[in-house]
Amino acid sequence: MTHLPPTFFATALSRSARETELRLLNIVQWKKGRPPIWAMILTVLTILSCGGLVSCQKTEAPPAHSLRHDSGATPQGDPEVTPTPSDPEVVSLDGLTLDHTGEEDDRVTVTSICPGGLYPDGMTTVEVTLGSGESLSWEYPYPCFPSVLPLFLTSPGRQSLVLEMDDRTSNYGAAQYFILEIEDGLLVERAHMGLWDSLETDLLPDGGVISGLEWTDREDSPLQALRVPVLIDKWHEPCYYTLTWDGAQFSAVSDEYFTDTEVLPLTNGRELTLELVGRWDYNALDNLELYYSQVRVLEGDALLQTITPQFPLPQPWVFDGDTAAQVTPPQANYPSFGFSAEYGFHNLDLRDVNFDGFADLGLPWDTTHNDVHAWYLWNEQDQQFEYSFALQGDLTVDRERGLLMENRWEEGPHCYYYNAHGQLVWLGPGGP
Amino acid sequence: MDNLLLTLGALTLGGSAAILLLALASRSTRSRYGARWRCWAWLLLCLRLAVPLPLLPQVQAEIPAPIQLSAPSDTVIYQYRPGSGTQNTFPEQGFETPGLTGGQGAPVSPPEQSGQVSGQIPQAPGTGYTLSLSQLSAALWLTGAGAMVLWAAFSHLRFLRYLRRWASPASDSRAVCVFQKLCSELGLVKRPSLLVCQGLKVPMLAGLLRPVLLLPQEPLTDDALRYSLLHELTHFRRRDIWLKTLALWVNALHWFNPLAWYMVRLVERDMELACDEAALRTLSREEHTAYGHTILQAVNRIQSLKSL
Repeated sequence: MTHLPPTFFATALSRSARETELRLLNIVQWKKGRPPIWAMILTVLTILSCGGLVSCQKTEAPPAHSLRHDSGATPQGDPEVTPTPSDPEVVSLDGLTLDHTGEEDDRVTVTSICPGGLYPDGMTTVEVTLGSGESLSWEYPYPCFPSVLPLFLTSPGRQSLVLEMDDRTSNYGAAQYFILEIEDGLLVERAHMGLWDSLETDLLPDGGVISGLEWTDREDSPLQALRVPVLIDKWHEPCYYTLTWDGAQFSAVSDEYFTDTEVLPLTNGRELTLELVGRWDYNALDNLELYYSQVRVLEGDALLQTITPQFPLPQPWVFDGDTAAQVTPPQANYPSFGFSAEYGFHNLDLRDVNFDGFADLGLPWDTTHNDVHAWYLWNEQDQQFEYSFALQGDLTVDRERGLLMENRWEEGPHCYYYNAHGQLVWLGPGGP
Repeated sequence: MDNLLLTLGALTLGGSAAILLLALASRSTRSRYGARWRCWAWLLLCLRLAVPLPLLPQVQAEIPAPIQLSAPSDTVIYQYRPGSGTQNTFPEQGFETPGLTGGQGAPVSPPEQSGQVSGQIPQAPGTGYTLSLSQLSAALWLTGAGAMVLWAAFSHLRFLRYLRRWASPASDSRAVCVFQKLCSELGLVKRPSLLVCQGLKVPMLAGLLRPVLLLPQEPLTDDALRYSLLHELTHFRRRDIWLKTLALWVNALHWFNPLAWYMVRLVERDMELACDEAALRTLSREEHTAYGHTILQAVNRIQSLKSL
């Protein structure tokens, strides 16, 4: 026997006795009136207000545009805003000593969110949970890639939190730093660096603050010090500022130098490391000049030699006076302070120019278009570079014929060769 | 999704109150007011509950409520972090928290890293995923709602397949004549198909888009045929299956609310009562008893089938 399957979309008769009874009763009392208008209106209003009878929806408010410091309590009239987290960056540390209890029982969590990826909308939140169970928080209305570092910066018994906020979009590692501490039950900001819009209170207001924070122990106290990198330009390593606490405030002192590093493949796998200590100063024309004041030659950790610029350059080691005249730049063209560090045109030249199988060192010794390089040739016996001559322009090294060819800015090529004593000999203008 | 769940929660709570009020009102006023008014009320309530969106405009931030509670943060109940068992990986990365015991020059970080912070303090990997309470709730709700809708669709498809096999156009001239006469009396321009179906004991209207009026294969008496067809055609004219479908949709959305299931029963009951009232208005007073008798016969037929 077939059986009709049930469906929701039908008016099947109910088997219920109660419902049948109701239907029959309804037939007997079939003539009924209409409800009063007020009852119908009340019913409609009740139904329409269904979704509004209970409301637990939060209202989106615009994000705060200023620094907020609080201890977790929300001031009246200033509702807590919790943006929808999107791709949150979270860093947590525990076992910290952030209060004065001496116990390593505190915890910090840094959360940075960028809702919907709509940079720079977002929020970075630092939440501290003390060993006592108390929670403190600090917020900054900016998304970042956060790092946090606990250091004894102001007190040997309490750590400060150094918050590094790496910019999400910077292509040179821009960062902002905040030093946070717990004071009077609040998580407060003690100092900040790298904030473009708070220059008057920024410890490093000249900009260029980048990631790569270092720290060191201080010699004059049991405290620690911060080393904050500041970018000079994109071709050089940053200059570091040392941040110390003097008992009342932080002060930042610049190293006033930067250190570029180059690897010089000397020969057969042997490598030397060149540390070029750079500085900057204003020349006679009031132009800012970057220069290297010192070149340290190291093999591994061993310092082999330190080359410093000499004014005037030493006498060249060449065959004759004519050659010496050609390879000695006029002092008027000398750089103002040291080997030029103006990258892009006056670059370091590392190659074997005397055909002895060892790489030599050409240091830029010119700030003009002549692009002179002071050549320091490797002396294998003394394990030192020795100044030998200065050549102009982009040097062509003809290893097959043992020739060097300058490419001077105005005069064009000049050729040189080495005699049997290894001395440079000027052949004259023109190509070989 | 969080907002949708919150709106749905508010709606189902308010809807529950409205269902209870309507149920109580219908019980106390059943003998005085017609069932069709209750059907209108159910229709309005179903329409409201069928759209889980706020109907009234949201209060803006500059008009603060007298009491504002910050919404609790969504509890993360599962967090996947590949290759890391804990979020605090600072010590595991080979770092020591800088202290004073090392003295001047004592290493505070691995020598090869020179104490640099950048890139060393571990950050939460962006490749992980978390499962919050709201996400779990949303998944559960969607699963329940989807299951109900799918079950309804599956049941109806099975029903249609049965009809394709066992139903055929009615050929009994007596039934067709009564059907046509009643359609004319009710003013139906568009009429459902009249089919005879095996396995059916009492007449029934079925189908949402192309409804069919099904008659049992066993012959009915003249009165039973007439009153049954009148009842089902009144259902057709009132578009009761649409109301039932709407109630089903609301039930699917609010499947977690027992009062929603109760409301569906009340809707079906009031729909039948309203249909009876509408049918009786087309009959003379003397025919009401015969109409009631037809209902009893139909229930008796179903009960006898059940007892078999």
